[in-house]
Amino acid sequence: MSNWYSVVGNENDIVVSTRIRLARNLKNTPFPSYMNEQDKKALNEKVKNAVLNSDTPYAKALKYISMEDVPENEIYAMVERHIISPDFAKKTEGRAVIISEDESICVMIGEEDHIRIQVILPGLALNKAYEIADSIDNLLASKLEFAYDNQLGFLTECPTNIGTGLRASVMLHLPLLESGSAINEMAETIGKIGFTVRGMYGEGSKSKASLYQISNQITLGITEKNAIENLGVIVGQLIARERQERNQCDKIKIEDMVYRAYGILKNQRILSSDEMMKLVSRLKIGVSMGILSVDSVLPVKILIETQPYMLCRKCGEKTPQERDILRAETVRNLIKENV
Amino acid sequence: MLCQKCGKNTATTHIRSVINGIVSEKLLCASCASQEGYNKIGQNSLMDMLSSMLGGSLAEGTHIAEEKCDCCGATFSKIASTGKVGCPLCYDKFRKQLLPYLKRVHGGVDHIGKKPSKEQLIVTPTDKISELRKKLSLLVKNERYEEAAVVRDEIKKYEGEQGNE
Repeated sequence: MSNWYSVVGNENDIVVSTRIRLARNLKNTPFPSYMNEQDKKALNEKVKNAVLNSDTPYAKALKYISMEDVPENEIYAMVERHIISPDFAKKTEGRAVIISEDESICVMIGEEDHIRIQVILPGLALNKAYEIADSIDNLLASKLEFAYDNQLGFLTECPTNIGTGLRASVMLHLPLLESGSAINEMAETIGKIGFTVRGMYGEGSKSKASLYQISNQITLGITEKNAIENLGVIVGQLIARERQERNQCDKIKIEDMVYRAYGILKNQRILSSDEMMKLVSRLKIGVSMGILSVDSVLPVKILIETQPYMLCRKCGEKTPQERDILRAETVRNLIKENV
Repeated sequence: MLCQKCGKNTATTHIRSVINGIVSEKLLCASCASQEGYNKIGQNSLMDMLSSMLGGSLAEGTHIAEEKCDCCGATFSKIASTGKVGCPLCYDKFRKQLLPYLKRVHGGVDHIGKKPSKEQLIVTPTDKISELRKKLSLLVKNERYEEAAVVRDEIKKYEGEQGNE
């Protein structure tokens, strides 16, 4: 089965992925940072049984993995594939995931909250991703008793997630808005209306390859539907602005930039991570604007599959120099496979 | 004034606690205050926001009422310093202190989203029966026949319910 990022999604000229995360905690149980090892194990078992012993398709479609059994390189490769959060990877003792084969569904157990249901889909798919997360939430709620307060909604370890516990994010490729620095202005406006703009790997990460994650910040006093709709409106505006810039730009300059990048990617022999990000961003512009006729999933595939731990995962521990050579080879092969 | 603990450095932190109605006050220097866990103010932006929301009492270094959550033992100053709540029951215990902060962050303090309502919690009889059957076979396998009999009766009850529908 293909990974989520190997599938073509809606609005994929600009939208890379959509992610929904629901934070849930068990009633009368201390939050993970106050739990000891035994409590964590008991929590894992409860969540595991709730999903895997249920009479739903999820019982067969999802797999339970204790993070203690996952090699370190693979843990960070999971972060690079966006299926677990960087915070979850930092400390894996007593933590576990329940995950689907294509990795689009991942229930993280014992992160900041007891349960974090994450659904990641290619392209723009806010409603579909929420529907899936919601159905897993309903399944868990039918077996477990969640910490819920009539006034405050679902209770979470960090008060910034309380209420719906919903974080919806959309990752966008905005190279032209970035080059005109309109993105900074827009990020400021977006910030004022309760949304955040972040880099590729979420909190604290910088934007690379002109990728930006827009997510809702307010979770209390708003319905899930409204939060998602509002995010959809903002994303829609960003898409429209980026497309407008693409239509108005100097085509020959863009074509030149795209073909140069494609030429390098097809022929290079040593490729650093930073250079790869820069070139892949240009490749993506080329694919999205119809300049290059390669598979539209190729840029994101390269971007994810040539991250440092994704490379180590396949070929074992490497020095940074060896990795750059391996990255170069992997990119050339991916291009060959997807042209 | 000198620190009441070490007696060497100048006291910079005024700690006032109310435990079971008994008020006690102490003046500590930065280092002793830190040893007692009162130094974490201003560590992160969330904490800054939180403490600035508390009418200045924490921000000024005056710690009032070190009440503990009955479930996890967290104190409000610990929650404020880490930006993380100890357990779901803390929200009840420290509701008054947390509400102004929640209002600042979210704009509102009343949840209007999804509820874990009874309708959403429906476990269909079929669901329940298959769950019980699994339990039953496990109990029989482990030769726990008395418990198995109870489960068997429960299955009969659910099957009866289905039949009546």
